[in-house]
Amino acid sequence: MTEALLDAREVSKTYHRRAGVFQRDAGTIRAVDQVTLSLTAGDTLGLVGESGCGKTTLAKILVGLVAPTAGAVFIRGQSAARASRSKRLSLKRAVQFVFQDPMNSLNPRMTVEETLSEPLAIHGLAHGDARRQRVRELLARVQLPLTHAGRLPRELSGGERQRVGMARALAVDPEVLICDEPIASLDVSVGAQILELLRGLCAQQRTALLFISHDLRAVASLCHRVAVMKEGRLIESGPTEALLTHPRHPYTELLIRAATLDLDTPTSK
Amino acid sequence: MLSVERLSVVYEGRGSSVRAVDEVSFTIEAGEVLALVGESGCGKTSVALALTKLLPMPPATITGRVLFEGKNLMEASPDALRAVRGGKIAYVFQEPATSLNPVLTIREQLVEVIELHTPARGREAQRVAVEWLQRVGIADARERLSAYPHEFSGGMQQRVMLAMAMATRPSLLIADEPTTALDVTIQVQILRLLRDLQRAYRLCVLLISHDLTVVERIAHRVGVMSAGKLVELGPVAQILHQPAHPYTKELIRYRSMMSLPRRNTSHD
Amino acid sequence: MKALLGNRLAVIGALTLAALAVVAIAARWVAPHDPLQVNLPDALLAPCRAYPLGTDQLGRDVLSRLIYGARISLLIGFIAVGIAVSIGTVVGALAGFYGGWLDAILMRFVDTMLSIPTIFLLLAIIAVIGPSIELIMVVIGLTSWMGVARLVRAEILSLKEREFVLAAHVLGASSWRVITKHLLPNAMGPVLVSATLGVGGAILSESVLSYLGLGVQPPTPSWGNILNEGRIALGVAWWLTLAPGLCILTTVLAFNLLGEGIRERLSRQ
Repeated sequence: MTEALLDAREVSKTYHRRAGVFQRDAGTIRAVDQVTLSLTAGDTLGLVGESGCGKTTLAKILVGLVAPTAGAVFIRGQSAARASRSKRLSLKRAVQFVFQDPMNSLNPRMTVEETLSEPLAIHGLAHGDARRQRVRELLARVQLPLTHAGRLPRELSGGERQRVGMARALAVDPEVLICDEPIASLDVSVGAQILELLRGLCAQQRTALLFISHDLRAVASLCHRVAVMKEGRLIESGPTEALLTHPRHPYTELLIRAATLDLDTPTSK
Repeated sequence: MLSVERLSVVYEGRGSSVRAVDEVSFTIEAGEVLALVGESGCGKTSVALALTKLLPMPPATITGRVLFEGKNLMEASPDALRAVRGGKIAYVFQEPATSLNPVLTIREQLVEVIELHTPARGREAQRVAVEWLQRVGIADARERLSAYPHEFSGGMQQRVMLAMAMATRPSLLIADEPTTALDVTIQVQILRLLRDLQRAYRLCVLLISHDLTVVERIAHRVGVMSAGKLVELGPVAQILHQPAHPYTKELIRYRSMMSLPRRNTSHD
Repeated sequence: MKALLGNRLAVIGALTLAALAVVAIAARWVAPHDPLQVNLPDALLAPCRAYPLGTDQLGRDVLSRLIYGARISLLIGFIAVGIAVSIGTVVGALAGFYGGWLDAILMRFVDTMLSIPTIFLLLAIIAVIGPSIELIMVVIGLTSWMGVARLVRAEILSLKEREFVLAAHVLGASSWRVITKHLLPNAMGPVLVSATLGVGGAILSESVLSYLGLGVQPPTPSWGNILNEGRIALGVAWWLTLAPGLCILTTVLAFNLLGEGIRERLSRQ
């Protein structure tokens, strides 16, 4: 049994809805409801669900952007929320994130080189020439030409921006990479290339991958395991092949039909 | 039914011009669904909008001929074009939320379209409106008439858009990525509705999509667009199984990379 | 800058201001006469060859006084706005970034400041302390930062949910780094617009104060006090009020045109 790199134990996030002039409590919304999942080295887990199912909130909890209202997240067995300042920085380094919208996820005023240098500066990983060298390596890893180093995000295509976003996450050699809909706003061909790149990167470094998507086809093509999320809960999970061929939950069945655009089997709902 | 001949759209910018659509020609027969596929920026949406001169001019200039029911729309008067748009040629766009006016009820918007393009007036127009809401699968259509767009979910809004498009009994429906903004499970429902409406009313449809699977389920023929040009055009089965153009082959290869394992319950 | 050239009015504004700045800086060489030189025999001369804009009651050259007055007006305008932008940016950034009680306190303070009629506050402070150029700059600055603070806060509020800011948090960036590298550089566009418009406003405030005799004190020339002196002789020497009036009008207009130009440019990006 290998040690879990990332371990979420029964994490929940509830929001209080406020209504009216006096902001009275109008009930709670369970965005994430007692979710437990763990990732070990070399794992590729796909998390599927439709918009509003809580998958993005879950991702934000996992990287520490949102504090869970219950449960806890452990990185290499340690809780980042309770760690000391310096310890927390090193734990943060272990789990990195790739965002959906490549237009939004890069600082429009920073060049590619500046964007990729920043994680190195934050974690004090390389200085001077070594840092420049490291940036060049990162560009090569995501298959971007070195001439792009001086460019601003607006001078890049959507796919190129997403590669920069991936390089930024890879800069600190994370052990877990969480990608939230990384290809949803890209063209099909560009998305396929990004998937290809992700597959290669994870295989090379045995980086654990949590791939979040509404697109079962993309998830199935990349991940060994799939978890299905609905209304804040993980309703089913298992090896990709088994889950797709023998879904146990009717909602998984529905998602599979949707992914193959099966128009002829009537659906209830 | 519709015959497009050497349609070009050029956008004039400061000192430069972009040829978004480059001499595109195709026809759509009665009762046929033609799909245009391609990646963003390939000009497919410009084609859809250029057919009834819906593009802002300037900066766009449109050349070529668009023969619809025997008339060249490119030479039609602005009034005649207005009558055709939303009447004989109806549009459904990607974002139902932005296509509906948020401050008007569904009744006001639907009845307005019906009165504008059909002889029905007043109570009669309202009756037609209810009928169409029922046909697109909206429960309690009569009550829902007084609702505002934000009271509907995305899928329901797109159903309303389809009702609005169909209520004027168009002979051509132009659907530009009609399901792209929707959740996957809703996407299936809307596509099924679109297909059923098309079959029931023998509608001509120009379907704009980036998704070859959507095309495979709905369309009879498909045109592949790349950099403003229509690089390949033919029956769906032929294009999907024996693509001729390298760009089409690429698209199909990417699609096959992302396919689900076959299941025994699969119907085809 | 290149794109600004597309907006003809903004270009006219910028050129006018550039010309004004050159003249103000080179006042010693450009001005035909000493602005303080009293020459009673030439008092109240209409514009002529020796005095292109005529003379005032003490026989001083109006053109030279306007040129030296431009120095004072521009100096006061820029420094007052500099103070306002600095305070406004700090207050707005803190309120927007930290939110919660700090935001509540700072923004209620802004509301309070906004509810005090600025001109009376200015008059009261100057009446107590006594007029001086430095005090005028500081006081105008201290009473005009609230707009900037609101602007910066609003920008920060929308920027801090953007993905590139979340990305910086995931990487473990400190709050200082997030604010100075990611938030403020992207919030400064609208601030620049507001500052440009603000310089015109500050020049106007200075003119009002000087006109009321509480601003720049004679014999030092400023557009406001030249206007004030001209008021007494309005019936006999129209040029004494018309010339400084036009200067104020042109300059404020030029700043507004430039500001609008920048705004339009930013909104197109």
